[in-house]
Amino acid sequence: MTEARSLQAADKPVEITLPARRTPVYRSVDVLVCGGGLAGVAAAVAAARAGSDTLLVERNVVLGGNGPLAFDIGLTEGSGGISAEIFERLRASGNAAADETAGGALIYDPEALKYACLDLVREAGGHLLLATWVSDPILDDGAVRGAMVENKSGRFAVRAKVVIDATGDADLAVRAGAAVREPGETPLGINARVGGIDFDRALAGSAHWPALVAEAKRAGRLDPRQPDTIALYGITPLARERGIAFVAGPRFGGRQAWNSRDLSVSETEGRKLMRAFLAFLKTVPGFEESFLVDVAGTLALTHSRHVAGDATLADGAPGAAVPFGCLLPQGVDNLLVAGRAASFDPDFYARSGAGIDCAALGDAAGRAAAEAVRSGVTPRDLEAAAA
Amino acid sequence: MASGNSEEFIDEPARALPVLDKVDVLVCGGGAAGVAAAVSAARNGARVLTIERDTTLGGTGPRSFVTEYHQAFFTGGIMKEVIQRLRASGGADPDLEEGHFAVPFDPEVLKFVLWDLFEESGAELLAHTQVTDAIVEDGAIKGVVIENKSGRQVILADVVIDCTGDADIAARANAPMQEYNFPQPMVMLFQIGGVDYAKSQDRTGRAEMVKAAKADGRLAEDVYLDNFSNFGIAPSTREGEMGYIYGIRILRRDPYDADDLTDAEVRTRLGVREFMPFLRTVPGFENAFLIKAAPMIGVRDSRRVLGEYTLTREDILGGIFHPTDIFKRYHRLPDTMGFVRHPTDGSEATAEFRERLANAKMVTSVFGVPFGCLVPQEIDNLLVAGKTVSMSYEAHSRCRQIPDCMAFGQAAGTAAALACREGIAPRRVDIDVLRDLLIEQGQNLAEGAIDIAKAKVHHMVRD
Repeated sequence: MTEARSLQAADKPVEITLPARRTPVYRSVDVLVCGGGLAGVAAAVAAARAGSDTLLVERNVVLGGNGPLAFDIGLTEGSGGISAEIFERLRASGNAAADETAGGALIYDPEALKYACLDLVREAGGHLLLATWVSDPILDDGAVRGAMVENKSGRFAVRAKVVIDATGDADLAVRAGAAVREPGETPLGINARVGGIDFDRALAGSAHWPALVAEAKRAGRLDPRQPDTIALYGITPLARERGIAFVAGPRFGGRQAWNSRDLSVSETEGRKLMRAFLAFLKTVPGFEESFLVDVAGTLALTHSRHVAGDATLADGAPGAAVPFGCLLPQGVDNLLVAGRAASFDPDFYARSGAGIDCAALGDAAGRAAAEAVRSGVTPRDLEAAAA
Repeated sequence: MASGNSEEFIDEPARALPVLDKVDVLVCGGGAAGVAAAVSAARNGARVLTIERDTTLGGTGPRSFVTEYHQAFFTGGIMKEVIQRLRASGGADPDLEEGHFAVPFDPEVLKFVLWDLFEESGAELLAHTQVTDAIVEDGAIKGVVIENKSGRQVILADVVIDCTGDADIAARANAPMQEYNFPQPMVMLFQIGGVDYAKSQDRTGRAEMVKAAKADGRLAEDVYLDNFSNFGIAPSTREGEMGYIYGIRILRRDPYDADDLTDAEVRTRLGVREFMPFLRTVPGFENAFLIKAAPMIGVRDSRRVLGEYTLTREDILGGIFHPTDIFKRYHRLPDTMGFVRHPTDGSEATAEFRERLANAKMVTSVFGVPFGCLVPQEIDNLLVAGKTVSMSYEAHSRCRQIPDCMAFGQAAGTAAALACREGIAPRRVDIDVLRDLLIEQGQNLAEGAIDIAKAKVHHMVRD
């Protein structure tokens, strides 16, 4: 949409030089965690519990990241540690339940995960800085010593003994000069929450959904990029009682999760297609009275770019042990990368990324960061010591 | 930021940043003001880029669940188009009488409607992007610095319109600001399902229930009003048995201080969770469940620029028009004599405040807002639209709502396009040409455009 026209600015200079500046230091902490998704939350909790003065910086104003924001609400039991604690909190509070449409796999209430994450960070004594973008790393001879952040108050430096990049796209690692492996594309999608569903009637006709969708596509009422069926999910006893569930909208190929133009275009295109899909949905038996509760706050991503780490997970069954070296980006010290952007082979991740437990990676990164601070070494030294 | 623990600095060397784009008009912020500014500038021939930190357009309405327009029927132009489209697409009541005090709308439908308007105008959007700094040379703004997943970059523009809601760009450009103390309370609305709408309409005894819950510790957080209401209920919201609850607010937090904002977001969200079990004891809400707290806290008030003109209480209550007005505002509110309806200190609950409000004379007026309110002093090529235009504290409390923001945005966008066309600074735009264009494009500046006889005198009172 914007690509072609943007190149038309004929008199556009290639770059602009901004003058030198003095940037105030906001805080000096032991551990700075960049990004408040599941990996970042677990990292902050683990580091704070281990006694580190920890600051978690999140661009949004809620924690939990892509799951609650994109309605990517599948819940895995967790391999232990903080990941298992999050699971247990959701289960114990009645916010996790089996999804009929996913063969009984567990899902959670998106709002409940935001609260679970907030509680965990607060209980652990971690500091929060919300509505704040992480900008550039503070670099000292190949080591990351903190990061610049940007928010309503302005540009500030945060000094840290160890930094954890949990941005989901290795944003800080890339700016620190770490090598990354980029998949050719990272499909971007959009989901929505729909109410007013008569589940009994709707599900009784589910065998006809692909034919109805195909017919609507042929008739031009649905865009060819829409899913091939009504991708309904999140059907639990509570959902049935309330008449509310989720639908997956179109998935766009050929886009990149770390490219802002791609994100921007996909957000608007996805929402437009979702609107057309919801109009179609009202013609399907059981959905006649359906209404939009909300389109997800942000795009659903399956994966992104990955750092090239000291170790790389290239194969393995879901739930396989992830070597610590996957969190250590080559060529950069004092930085750990937790979450989906850790060092996985992109092809492997595209196949089985859903099996990666981001909270467990964050947990490991947070513990390692705290241990490195306590011992006065870099996270990489810990690996060497353990070897 | 207030609670930072360091007085150190880091010296950052000069650095070259890539220029992402160069446009005629750059709109910073995609809320109500930003959408109106972008649409107007694009319709009037400018190449327009809008930068938004979030994923969608609309700002406070859809993101803070301020789900009704107040006194909007007399605002013309793009505001009127939005209401027409909402009513035509299931987002607002098509049968609502013209002149009604409030127009409730469905925030999800609003996002679709705003996107349509925006896209049809030819404006472009860069979402997921934070504006972080202003580039100023010789007293004129040249562009801004942005941060997003693609890195730190520059966007250049002939005119920049600050629709950030906190005058962020004007502040970074060191434009002079109005004197500022603490703002009016921020509010956290939340979306619920399972509402028995008919039953919930009877509000008898509700304030007493809230007070009792506070007294016995069921509502322990210090963020609750003495009453709550089901805000802005569009027909689709009612049919879906949903609601947007207004009753949680936080005092004395600066919206442009990141520590204050973090604290406000966290404490009010915790307040929402604590409120839910109480809410289920209130008639009509027995089966209510939380869908979500607002995606962002609602900010009534923030810093405001010092413009070429500053709108005052006397302008508003006196019904003053100026030769440079860019829209006319119908106003009907009690004359609270120097204090505002949502006081900084939360004293709206005191007996003194209630008595003062009860005895206040209701004032009806129509007044004009001059173009100079949108033009910051000292910095050229910069316009401001939204609740941060140049107004006194009390004037602002009467002229800061979403319809006002859309009218400011429309005027700023049109003026920016004119300035680009003429190759002049926006402050030198021919005001008569601007006003004629605004009238042509539906703004209510023509003689007799506001027929106050049509105003529905009854107006909603919220506790």
